[in-house]
Amino acid sequence: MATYSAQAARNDRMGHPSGFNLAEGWGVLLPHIAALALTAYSITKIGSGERASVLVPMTVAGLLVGLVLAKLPILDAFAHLVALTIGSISVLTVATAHEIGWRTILRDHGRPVALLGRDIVDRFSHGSGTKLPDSELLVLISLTLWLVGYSSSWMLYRREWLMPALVLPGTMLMVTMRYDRQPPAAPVAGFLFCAILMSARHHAFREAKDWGRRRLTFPGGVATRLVIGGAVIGALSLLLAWGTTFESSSRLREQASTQGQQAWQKIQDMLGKAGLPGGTSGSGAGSYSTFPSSFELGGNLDLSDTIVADVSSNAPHYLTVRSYDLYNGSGWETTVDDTFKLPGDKSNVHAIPISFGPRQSVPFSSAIASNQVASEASVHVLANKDGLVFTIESFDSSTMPTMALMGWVKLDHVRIDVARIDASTLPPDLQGLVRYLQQASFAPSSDGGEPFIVQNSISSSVAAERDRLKGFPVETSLSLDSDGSPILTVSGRLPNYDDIEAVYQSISTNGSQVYRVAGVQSTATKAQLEATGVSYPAWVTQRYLQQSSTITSRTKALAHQIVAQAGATNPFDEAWAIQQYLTGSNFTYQLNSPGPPNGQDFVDYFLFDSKVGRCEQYASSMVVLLRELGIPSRLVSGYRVGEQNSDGQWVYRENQAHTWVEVYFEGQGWIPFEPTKGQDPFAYGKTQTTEQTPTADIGAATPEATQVAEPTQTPEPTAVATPIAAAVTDNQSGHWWDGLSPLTLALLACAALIVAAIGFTMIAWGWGLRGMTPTASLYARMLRLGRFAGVRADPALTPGEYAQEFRSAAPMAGTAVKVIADLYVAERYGHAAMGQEEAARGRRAWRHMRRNAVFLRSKWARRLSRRRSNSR
Amino acid sequence: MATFRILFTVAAATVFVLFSTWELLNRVVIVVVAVLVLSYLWSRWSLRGVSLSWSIPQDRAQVGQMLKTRVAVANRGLLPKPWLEVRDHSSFPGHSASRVVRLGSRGRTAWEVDTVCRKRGRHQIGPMSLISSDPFGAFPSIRRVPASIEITVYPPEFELARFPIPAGVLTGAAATQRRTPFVTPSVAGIREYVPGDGFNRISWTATARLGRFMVKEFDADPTSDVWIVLDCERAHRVDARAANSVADERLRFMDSTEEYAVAAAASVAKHCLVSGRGVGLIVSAAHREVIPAEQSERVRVKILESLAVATSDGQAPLADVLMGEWRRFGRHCGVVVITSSSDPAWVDVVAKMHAHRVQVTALIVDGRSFGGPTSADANIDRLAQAGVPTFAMRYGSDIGLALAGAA
Repeated sequence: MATYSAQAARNDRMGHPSGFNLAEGWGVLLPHIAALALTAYSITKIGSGERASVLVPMTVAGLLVGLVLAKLPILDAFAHLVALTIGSISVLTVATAHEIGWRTILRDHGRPVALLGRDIVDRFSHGSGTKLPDSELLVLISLTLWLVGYSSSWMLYRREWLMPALVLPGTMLMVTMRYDRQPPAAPVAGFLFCAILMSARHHAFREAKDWGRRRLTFPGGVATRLVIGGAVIGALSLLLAWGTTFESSSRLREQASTQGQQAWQKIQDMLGKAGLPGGTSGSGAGSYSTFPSSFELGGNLDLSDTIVADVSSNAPHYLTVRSYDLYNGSGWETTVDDTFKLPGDKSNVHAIPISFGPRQSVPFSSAIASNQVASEASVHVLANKDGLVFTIESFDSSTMPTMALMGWVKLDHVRIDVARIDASTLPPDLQGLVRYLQQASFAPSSDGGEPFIVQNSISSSVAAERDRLKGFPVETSLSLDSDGSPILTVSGRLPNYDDIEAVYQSISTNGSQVYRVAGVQSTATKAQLEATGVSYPAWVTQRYLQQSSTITSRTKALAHQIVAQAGATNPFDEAWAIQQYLTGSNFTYQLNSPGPPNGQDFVDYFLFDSKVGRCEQYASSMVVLLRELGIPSRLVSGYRVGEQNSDGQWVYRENQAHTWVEVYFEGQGWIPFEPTKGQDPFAYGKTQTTEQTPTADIGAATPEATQVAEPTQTPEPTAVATPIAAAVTDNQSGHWWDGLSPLTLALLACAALIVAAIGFTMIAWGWGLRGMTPTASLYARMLRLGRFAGVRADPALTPGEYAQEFRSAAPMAGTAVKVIADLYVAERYGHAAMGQEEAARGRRAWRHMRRNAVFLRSKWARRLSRRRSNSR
Repeated sequence: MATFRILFTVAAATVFVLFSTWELLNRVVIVVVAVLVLSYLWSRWSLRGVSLSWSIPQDRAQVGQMLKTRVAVANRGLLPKPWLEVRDHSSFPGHSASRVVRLGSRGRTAWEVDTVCRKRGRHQIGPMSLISSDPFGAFPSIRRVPASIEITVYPPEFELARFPIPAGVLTGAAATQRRTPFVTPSVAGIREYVPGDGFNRISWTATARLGRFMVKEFDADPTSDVWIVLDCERAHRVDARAANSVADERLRFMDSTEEYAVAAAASVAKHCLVSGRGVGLIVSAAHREVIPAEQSERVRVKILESLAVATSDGQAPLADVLMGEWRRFGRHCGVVVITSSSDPAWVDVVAKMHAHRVQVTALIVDGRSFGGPTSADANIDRLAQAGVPTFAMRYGSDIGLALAGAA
């Protein structure tokens, strides 16, 4: 077949449109129109309602005019002038028509259009401080979009520049999305997909043009196949992008941020100690607003007004995120891991969160389950906080699967008299077993071991319960006392559902999401709270009465002084008195205030020296003062109530991040207090009315607020990824990396990869060189280096020719290649063993090549070297 | 380098996504990076499992003949190849097997390319490259198939029906005393058979008479040999555009004095061999090449092989060459000198040779007709005065006709 054919002639024409043939193909034009329409649509969405509906047609019209002008054989400047004229007239006409209607324009012979144009020109030529009218704003936006459509079209169809044609509308789209409060992903995804299709089709066009120019024959349908291929790649990429969660990245970011802040704080402390400028007094600068597992008090905060969540609920609620139990003099941390550790566990053992299914309630203990009322809210999270669930009150349930981090109680050979005990007073996880045992009849074992249960069905249920408890792990043993009644002895640890510290999403997503949460709170009135006693459970006193050794005597004295002055004699009144003291005139609220000097307790500094602070100073002080009085309390972080939007939703912003106090009351559970000045105190004595959320449901039926019943079934205590037993076993064996941060782990992994890569390279490099003579080894290494440098060792080349080719390809190799090639030739074909002098010369040559190895692949280095050798 | 670039891009994008808080932008970055990575993988796979081969039924051709090349591309893989460009890097003038093809899963395609041999010499068919890329053309993928086939293209041989072959002066019935491996009518003697001798050379009468195998030895045929002296001195080469208006297609590919001289040498050699004369060749190029005079098809091939690659890169003047090689030319030899030289020195040498009864014929390629600065007319006149048969070839002239009558 001749190299030039009718096919090639047809190909020639592809580069030059004739008739209605679009050289670039309709596969470019249609996605182009769609991409620009999406850009205009995104602006329309945030634009001024119905008027903005003209933006899409105006943009597309600009594109089409650009296409026609680009294909006409006219001067560029003339084409631009024509486009601007057509665009201006069209935009003014359409905008006027929207204002007064087409009939009026026709009736007045287009005078209103001219008037609008004159108004705009006057406004810009003379300036005006008044707000731009909607019609004029619409004209300006429409004209801008017209020009965007025109310029994009011009660049693509006249200049054949694909990327510039896409960059401008793409940038506009992203800027629009940035200013949209809840940007929809569809326009961006659609734009990207269209851009990908355009890229594939445009590539086919360019290739066809090149093939035509070189008079190559090529088959039909290439463009279609490339577009299909591009569409597949685009679809996969979009699926990947929109299927990716950014949880790990947020964690890493937070980790890096926290570590960076800590490092910077340490530097500032060192500077401060040395008396150098830029130093601080040493207070930590962590932030409660990021809800880490521990944070330092103080430091400057600059929180944005970015919306974190919209909440639909009947009444405003504080959004609870997590709580802290240990004040260390400069910050807050949690001892939840300590409650989990069994004797013998390593220090890096962490508490395992307990999983809850959708709508599965937390089985609170009977000690606080009575007098609880449930509230429910629909939370629309816009800024994910590392998978933490925003809850209200004390977390009860959620419509999505969750994991609750909670304290654990340890049982050390606890004897339970099965026959006499009220099962509901036991930890929820033991209640099922005890209830089964209470229904069982026992017969002593003949071998003196555990008594066996006479009823087979109960026996199997008891065995199943005991197996389940082993997962925590809890070991149980049965015995009969002297009067034949069964005694259950329990050892191990169990989750404490009354002591939930934070709740995480089981399936973490980084995007915005909507879920319902239910929380419970005591219905106790002030009077009922005042009547509570001080018999606290052991876990409460152990965790929530801890005091730091940094607490000063004047702080302790102040606590007693406040309650004495207030005449408070019960925990509630004492707490109320302290709250009143802190919110009184003694203190001033200030978001950013200086920290204490080195070594001074933070609360002490706030209470007696600065008397200026923000919520964390107030809340920390209240907890410290309450604990001094023997009242268990904890610091809670989350968001205070914000404003209500037009949809009736409560809006929570970053700058509403807040800390407050929860106090434990006997029989009532955790009751919130608000010690921060300027904030409204909490109301007590909720009635058991149903809270109806004002917005539509998210799928599940809205449950009535219910009195929390005594739990009959406890949640299946499964660990996050592995059964508790397995996890504990792992923890007990311990891994050296358990205590390392993700950032450190990532760095270590990178280092390990680098070491492995170096090791692999060294092994690969030495592979096959064994048994060679020194000269042959040098030559073989040179060949490998040549392959790295892109010099092919053609079998037809002699070593000398290869050396020549090597030098011409990589002049920086110098004469070293020739030295090695000569030595190899001398040994291989001259049968001359390499003497000491030659060996040294060969080694020198190799070292020279190795030194330059890095630059062998560098085009820049090659060019420079070639230029040098030429100049020589 | 593409691998490094893509790894760098992925690493940079990963860091960006890890530390950027704008989720939508992160997704855009992921899309861009994913498109790049998938395109890169597509590009890497685009040539996997593809084989390219080509074949030519002959390895010798002559200017003006048609060369047929068959190219085959096969896809052994399951993934179809939307487009593959086969790019031909052959050095064969006028040859191009380049084409864009599309291959389905396990598909194959083949095509033939016919190329007219335009230029004598040794040319390569191949190497070729397979080129493809991802759908966006971001990562072109090129695989070079280095194999190549060497084709030797001989110069054209024109019919010289009326070219007078120079006659050597031979005494009648005299033995030439030059042994030849070929069977000729001139038996020189007999000798004892040695292994390797052909059976057709056994003298059965002598064998019967002597009781042992005896074979005959032959002398070369007692006709005068013709030596062709081709002058390839660089200084006298003149290039011109190929003559398109001539009837003989072969002349269209001859665009220099060198080509005319070489074609004339090949034509004269063929003519002499066909006429039963032994022919030898002396090419005075950068290295002097001498092919001893023989009378066989084999020597024709040798001469064509030599002429196929002869180029005007010589430094030695023709006069020196003739003086140096004179000893080869006895009175029984004819000498055909082919040159485009306008140097008068070689004319003097030829005149002397002629005076010594060496039958010399001069074929002069007139450089001026090719656009050269000097004319060969003066030399032609002097040769005529010396009685040397001279033929002139001019640009565009038919060599067969030009060598039919003396200038």
